[in-house]
Amino acid sequence: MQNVPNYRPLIAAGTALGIGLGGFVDGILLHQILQVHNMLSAVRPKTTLVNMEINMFWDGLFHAFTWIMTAIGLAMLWGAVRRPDVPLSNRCFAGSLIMGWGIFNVVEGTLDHHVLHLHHVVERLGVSVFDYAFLGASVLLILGGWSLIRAGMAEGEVGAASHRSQGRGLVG
Amino acid sequence: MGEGDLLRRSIGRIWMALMLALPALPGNACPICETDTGQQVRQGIFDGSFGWNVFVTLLPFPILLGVVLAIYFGIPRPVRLMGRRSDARITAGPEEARRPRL
Repeated sequence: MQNVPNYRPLIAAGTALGIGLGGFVDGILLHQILQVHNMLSAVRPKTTLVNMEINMFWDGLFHAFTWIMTAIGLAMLWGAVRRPDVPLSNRCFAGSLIMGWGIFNVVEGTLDHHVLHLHHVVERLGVSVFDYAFLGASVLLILGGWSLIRAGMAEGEVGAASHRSQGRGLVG
Repeated sequence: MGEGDLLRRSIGRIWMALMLALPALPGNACPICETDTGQQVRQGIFDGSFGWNVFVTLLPFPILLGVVLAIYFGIPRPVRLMGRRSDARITAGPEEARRPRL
């Protein structure tokens, strides 16, 4: 049964890594560089130094778990590359990373922006077009990632026979 | 295990513990410990809504982990379909058995 290609471990690892790295984009670019979108900025408006530091604490807790998700993704990736039945498809992996990023944004955006109202993309506007654009862009990331995964799997099917004879499925 | 091995292993563990403790040293700076602002920050963090804030801050992660696990193991299907699928994998001919999973 070793010849049955199993993409799940690679896609799951890539998705976990994409979720973690997407969380870091959120934290580094939005929270720290642009200083928007902080964790509790709708509850504790960043109008005073105290509230800014409180937001910094909750941002930090969020990013600690983002780090854990990245570590889980790395461990899963290590497990995947050691399995002979997992084809190492570049497209599947890249697609999974992109899809993971989109999934992170959709879950975080839906829960924190629209359900719990912990923060919004542009806080002074509340729920605004930017929050919907955030979700829309995230759905596009998921769809783009998924189509890349499908392309990688299709390519793997075509090339599987030749790669299988070489002992390991390393596909585009 | 010889005495030398035991000593070497103990030294290794102590060294590892020290290395792991080093990153925590900056915690001594503790910006929320001494100053008036720091104390207000600490009160703001550990107020009555601390537990709720922890919950809502971490809420996305079990969901995200669930998505990853669903991809890894597959979404559970009704027993009838699972039976068909696993039977198919066991009894399938060579071409069907090689079809990629997922």
